[in-house]
Amino acid sequence: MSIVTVRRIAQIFFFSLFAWFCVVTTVGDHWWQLRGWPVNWLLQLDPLVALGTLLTTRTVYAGLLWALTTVALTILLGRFFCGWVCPFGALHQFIGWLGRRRKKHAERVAMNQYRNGQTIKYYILITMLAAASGGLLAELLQWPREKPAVGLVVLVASLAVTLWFATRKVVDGWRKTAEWFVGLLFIGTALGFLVRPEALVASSLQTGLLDPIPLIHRSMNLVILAAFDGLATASRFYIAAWSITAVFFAALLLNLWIPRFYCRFVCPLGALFGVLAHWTPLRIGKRQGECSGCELCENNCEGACDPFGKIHPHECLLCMNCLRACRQAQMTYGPRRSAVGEIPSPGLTRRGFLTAAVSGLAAVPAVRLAGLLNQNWNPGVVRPPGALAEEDFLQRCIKCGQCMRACPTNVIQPATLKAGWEGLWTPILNFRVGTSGCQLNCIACGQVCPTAAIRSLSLDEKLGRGGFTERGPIRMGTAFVDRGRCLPWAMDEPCIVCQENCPVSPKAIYVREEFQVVRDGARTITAAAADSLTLDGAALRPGRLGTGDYFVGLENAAAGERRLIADNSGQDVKLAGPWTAAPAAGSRIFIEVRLQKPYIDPARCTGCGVCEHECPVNGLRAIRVSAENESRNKRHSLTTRA
Amino acid sequence: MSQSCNERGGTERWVGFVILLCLAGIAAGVFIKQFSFNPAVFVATAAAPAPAASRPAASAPNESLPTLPPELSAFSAPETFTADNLYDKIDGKADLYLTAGFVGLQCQRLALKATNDVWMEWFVYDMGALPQAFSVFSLQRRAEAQPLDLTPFAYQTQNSLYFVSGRYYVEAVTAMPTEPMMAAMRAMARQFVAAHPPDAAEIPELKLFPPENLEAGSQGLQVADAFGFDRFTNIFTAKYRVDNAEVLAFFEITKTSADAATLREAYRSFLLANGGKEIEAGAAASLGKPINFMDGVEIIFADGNVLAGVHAAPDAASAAKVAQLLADRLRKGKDE
Amino acid sequence: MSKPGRLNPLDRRDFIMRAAKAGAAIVAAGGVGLWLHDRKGPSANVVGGTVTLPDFSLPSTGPKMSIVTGADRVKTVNRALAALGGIERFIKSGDRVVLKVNAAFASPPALSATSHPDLVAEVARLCLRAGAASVIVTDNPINDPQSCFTLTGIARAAESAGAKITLPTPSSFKPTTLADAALIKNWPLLFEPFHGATKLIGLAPVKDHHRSGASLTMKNWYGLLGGRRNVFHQDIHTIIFELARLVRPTLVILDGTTTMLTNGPTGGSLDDLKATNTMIASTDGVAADAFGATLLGKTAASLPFIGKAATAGLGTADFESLNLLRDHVD
Repeated sequence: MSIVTVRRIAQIFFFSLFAWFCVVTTVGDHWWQLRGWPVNWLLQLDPLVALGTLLTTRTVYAGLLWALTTVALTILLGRFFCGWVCPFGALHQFIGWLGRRRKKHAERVAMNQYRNGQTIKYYILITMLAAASGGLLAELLQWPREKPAVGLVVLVASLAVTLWFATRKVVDGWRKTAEWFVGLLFIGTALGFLVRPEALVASSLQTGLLDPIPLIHRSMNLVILAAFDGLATASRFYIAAWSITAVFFAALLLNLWIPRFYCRFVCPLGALFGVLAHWTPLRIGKRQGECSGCELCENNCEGACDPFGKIHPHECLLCMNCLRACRQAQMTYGPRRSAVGEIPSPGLTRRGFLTAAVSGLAAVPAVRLAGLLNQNWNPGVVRPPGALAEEDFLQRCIKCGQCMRACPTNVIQPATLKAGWEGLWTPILNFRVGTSGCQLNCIACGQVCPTAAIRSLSLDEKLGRGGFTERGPIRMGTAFVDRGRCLPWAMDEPCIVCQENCPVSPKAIYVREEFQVVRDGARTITAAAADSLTLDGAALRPGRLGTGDYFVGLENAAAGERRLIADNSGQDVKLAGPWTAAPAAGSRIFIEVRLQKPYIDPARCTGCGVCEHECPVNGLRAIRVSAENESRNKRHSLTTRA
Repeated sequence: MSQSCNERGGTERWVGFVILLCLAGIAAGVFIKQFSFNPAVFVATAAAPAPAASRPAASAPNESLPTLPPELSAFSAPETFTADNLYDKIDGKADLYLTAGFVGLQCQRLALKATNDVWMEWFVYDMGALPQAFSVFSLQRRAEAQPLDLTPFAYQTQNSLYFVSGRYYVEAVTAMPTEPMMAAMRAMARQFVAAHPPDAAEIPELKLFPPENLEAGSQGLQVADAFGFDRFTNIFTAKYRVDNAEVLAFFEITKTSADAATLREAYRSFLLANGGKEIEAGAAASLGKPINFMDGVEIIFADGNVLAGVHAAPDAASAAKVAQLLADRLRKGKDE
Repeated sequence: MSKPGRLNPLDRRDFIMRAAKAGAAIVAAGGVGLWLHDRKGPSANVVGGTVTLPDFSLPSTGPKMSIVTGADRVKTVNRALAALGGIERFIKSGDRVVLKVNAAFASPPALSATSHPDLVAEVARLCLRAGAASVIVTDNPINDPQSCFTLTGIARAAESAGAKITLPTPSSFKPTTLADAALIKNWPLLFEPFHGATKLIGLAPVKDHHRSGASLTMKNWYGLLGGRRNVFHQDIHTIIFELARLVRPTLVILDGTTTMLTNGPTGGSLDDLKATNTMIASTDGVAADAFGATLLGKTAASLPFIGKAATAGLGTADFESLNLLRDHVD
C-alpha cells in the first residue's frame, strides 16, 4: 500500500470525522446526536486556536492542550496536518484535482510553481497574532512603571530574545529587523510612562476569520448542514449566512485557477506550521543521481514547494505525490536535506514584517475608538447565557459556529456588524428567528464552546438555584414592552401571550387589568331584557364581542357594575349573567374591553426571549429583549441593586 | 515503476500500516468517548429538575405500601426514591442496591397507636426480581440473626426484621424494641407477604449446595464483583462448618462449559497475578491445585457449565473437604 | 527503469542540530502549554463570588490527642478535654463557636448513625461555660433537615444546653474553591453558620461506611457541602482528602462509645453496633481517624483517605508518635 493511498485514507478519515462531529452537534442522546462525541476535537488540535487564546488570555484552556500534539508532530515531521488532517485542505485538494484532471503536464507544472505570493499567509499570521498580543504587550509595558530598573531590563531582554527566535529564520536581515522592533518598543515604553499602555494597545482574537478549522466548522454548521436540515428536521436559518457562504465558496472555486489556493496564499495556520517545521528532522528531498528533468514530481505537488529544484520545506505539505510520481525514485522522505539544496526561509521582508505586526497591533485600538466596548455599546448585542463580558468574549471567540449549531431553538445567530468589526460572525441571540426563545433548562451552548468564550454553566448556575441562589439566575438581557405596538396597550386588543409563555417562576411578566371603553362603545339602550340589551348606533360585527373579554358597563355605575358579554349580533348584546337591577331603556351604557396590560419585572426577567418569539405582532415585535441588565456586565444594570 | 522489491517500499508499507493503526485508534477513542455524555445532554434528557433539598414526598395514596395493621398509624409521610436519588435516603449504602439492580424504594415511619412516641421505619426495596432481592438480603445479613418464620429468606435481630418476599426486600427497624412494637412489626410483615404473594418463593440454584455441614441461613448471592474479581457475576455463596473451621463455598452458572473453563482460568490468573501461590493438592486432587491467596486457601473448578469452588478457607484440608462435597453434589445434580 | 539515486551523505552534525532544536522547541512548547493550562476556564465576574473557609486551628503547643475509655459519654468527654488542657485551652471568652455534628439521617440516637444528643449538649455546655458568646450547632443532612435534627434528638439537646441550631436553606450556601483541587471547585459550601465564627469543633461518631470504609472526623466535613454532592461518591477518597484540606478545625471529638461496626453509614440493626466505650479528642483529625479505624477493626493503611491526608501533611497517621494521653473513667 503506497503512502499516497494511506494519505488519502487519512484525509477521508479526518474529513468524515469532521463532518460527523458537525452533524452530531445537536443536543440529545441518540447515536446521531451529541451524547459524548468529542465534537471540538479538531478545533482543539488546531494550534492557532491555542496560540491565539494563549496570547489573549495567557492561559491554555482545557482541551486546547491537544494542540501540543499537533505542534510536537509538526516539529518532528513537517506540515503533516495540512496534507493529512485538515478537512478544508482535503476539500481544496479534491477540487483542485477535479479542476486539473484534463490539463496537460506543462499546464499542471505551471499551476504548481512556487509563487512569491505564498509569503502573504505569513503576513496574515503575523497581523493576527499581533492583534492578539496587545494585552500581553500592555502587561509587559506595565513592568517598567512598577519596577523601573528591573522591569526595563527584563522587558527589553525578553522581547529581544523572543524576536531573535521568531524572526531569524523567517525574515531576511533579521538583525536589522530586531533592532527596529526593539527601538519601536523603547518608544512605546517611554510613552507607557506618560500614558496608560492599556489605552494604546488591546487584544482581539480574529484568527477565527481565516483559520481553516473554525472556518470550515462555521461553513459546515451554518451553511451546508443548515441547507440539509430542512429535509429531515425543522429548517434552520442563519442570518447573513451569505457572507460565510461567499468566503467558503470563493476559497473553493479559486482552486480551479490555482490548486490549494487558500492553503498556499491565505491560510495563517499553514503559515504557523511552516514556521514550526523549520527544524524538522525528517523532510522531503531529492536524492543525488540522475534526475531526468521530467518534472513529473511537480505534476501534483500540492504545496507548490518546488521539489524539482531547491525545495521550500516550509511550503511542503507532505502530500507525498512527488514520491509516487517520480519514475526514477529520486524523491525521498528522510533525515537528509534535499541533495540539490533547500530554500530554508519564507523570505519575509523587514518592511513586510514590521508593517504586518504594527498593523495588527494598531488596528485593535483603532477599531475600538468606536466605543462599542464603552459608552456606545450596542444593546442589540444579546449574547448567549454564560458569555463573558464583551472584551473578554472577543478575546476568546473563534467564530466556529458550534454554539449556533448546538442551540436547540436556533436563536443563536452569527452577528453581522452589530457587535462591530471584531464581532463579525460571533454569536448573538435573535429571537425572531428560530423556534422559541432560549430554553430555560438548556446549557448546550456553553458546553460546546471550545474556548470558553461562553462559559460552561451548570444548570444550577444558569437558573440561580442551589449554591447560586444568592447570585441569582444568569441574565442575557431584559424584555421591554413597546407600548406603542403592544395590542392591549395600543390597540385595545386583549392579548397575554407573552405573560403566558414566560417560563421563569414566578413569572417575570405580570399584568394589570384595565377596562377600556371600546371605539364607538358609548351606546344608548333601546330595549333591555334580563340578560340582553338592544343598542342603538352602528351595527356591531356579529360574534365580535363574545370572546370573553367584553363587558357592558353602566353609566354612573359603581365600579364592578359590569356584565360579561356572552354573544352579540348586529344590534343585540347577550349577557352572560343577568343584571341585579336591569337598566331602563334610554340609559347609556358602555361597551368595554378588559385589557391585561403586561409589565416587566426586571428582577426576574432573564432575557430568554420566549416572549419576543411568541408575540403575535409578528414584524417588529411588541416586546423585545435588549441587553440591559445582562449579568455579564454590571455597568449595564438597570437598577442600582445588582 | 515497481517499488515492491525496494527496501524503501517496505519501510513505506510499514509506516503506512502504523498510520492506519493510529487512525483506527483515534476512531476507537472517539467511539469510547461518546459514551460519557456531555452535561448538556444529561440536563436536556433529565426529567423535572430535582429540588435543592430532598423533602418527604407529598402523601399521595401509595398502592405499594400495604394498609397498616390496626396497631400502627402513620408517623410521617410515605417517601419514594428512585435510582437517581436513593443516595438522598441511605447515602453510601445506595451502591449496594444500585449494583444489584435496584428499581425503587418506598418507606414510611409508623408509630404504635397506643404509645405514639414508639415508632419504627418501614423500608420496601423493589429489586426487580427475587434473586436480586435475595442478593441484597444475603449481603447484609447480621451475624446475630435469629430465625423468623415468615418467608424462606427472613431473619430478625433484637430491634429489626429483614425479609425477602418475591422481588421485594423489606426492612423494619425500630429504636425502641418493646414487645408490642416487635409484635406490630411482625404483623405488618405478615400483611405485606400476604399482599405480595411471591410467584417464585424459592431460588432453585440454592439446591445445588450440599446440605451437610451447611450453616443455616448462610446462603447468599453476589450480583457483581464478587471477591474483588470483576468478571464474577451472580456468584452464589454458602458457609460450611468443617473441623471447627468456617469455609465459604461458591458457584456461578455460566452459559457453556467453555465459558466456565475460561472463567476458571481467568480467576486463577487473577489470584496468581495478585500474589497467590499454588500449593500441593491434597485430598481433592481431581479439582486442581489449590491457591494460597492472602492467607486463605482457594480451590476453583469447573463442572460442565458451572464454575465452583471454595474461597478464603482457613486451611487446605477443610477447603478440600468442602470442595469435594460441592463437586460431588454438582455431579449428582447433573446425573439426576 | 533506472536505479534510484544515491542518498546524499547524511550530514550528521546538521541532523543532530536540527533534532536537538526540534526537541528543545517541543519541550518549550510543552512546558509553556502545561504551565499555563487552565482546566477550569474563566469564572463569572460577579460581585460576592467565592468564599474561603477561615482556618480555625490553633498553633499546636501542648498535647495533641487524648483517648479516654468509659461507658458514660459525658464523663469521658470531660476527661478527654481535661487531658488536652481543658476546653479553656481552645475556647476563650467571647468566641463564637460552630459545632459541626453528624445529623445526616433522621435516625433515632439509639441506632448510632448520628452524633449522640448527650454529647452535643455537653460540648455545647462546656463551650458556653468557658465563655463562648454563642454556640451554633449545624450540619447539611442527607434527609430532610427539620426531621433529621428533630428525630436525632440533637435539636432538643442543643437548645437545652443553650446553643442554637442553624438549619440549611438554599441561600445558606456560597460557592467555594479549594486551590489545586480536582473536585471542590466552585462548589456550594454551607457558609451561613460561619458568619463571624471564631472556632470550629467537629463531632463525629465512629461508623463503618459502605463506600469509603469508615466515616470518622474527616468524612464528617462532607456535611458542609451542598449541591448534588453525591457525585463525589465516585471519588470518595479524594473528596474526603480535599475536605480535610478545606476545613481546619480547632478541635475534633470522635465518639467511639458506640461504634457502628457493619452496614454503615445507615446501620439499622442494633446488632450492627458495639459498645467500644472510647472517646477521642484531638487537634489532628488524621491521627484521630487513624485511631478510630482500629475501633472498627480496620487499619489506617486500609483507608486510602488517611494516607492521602497524611502525605499532604495535614496530620499524621502514626498516632502513637503523638504522645497520647490515655485514661479511663467509670
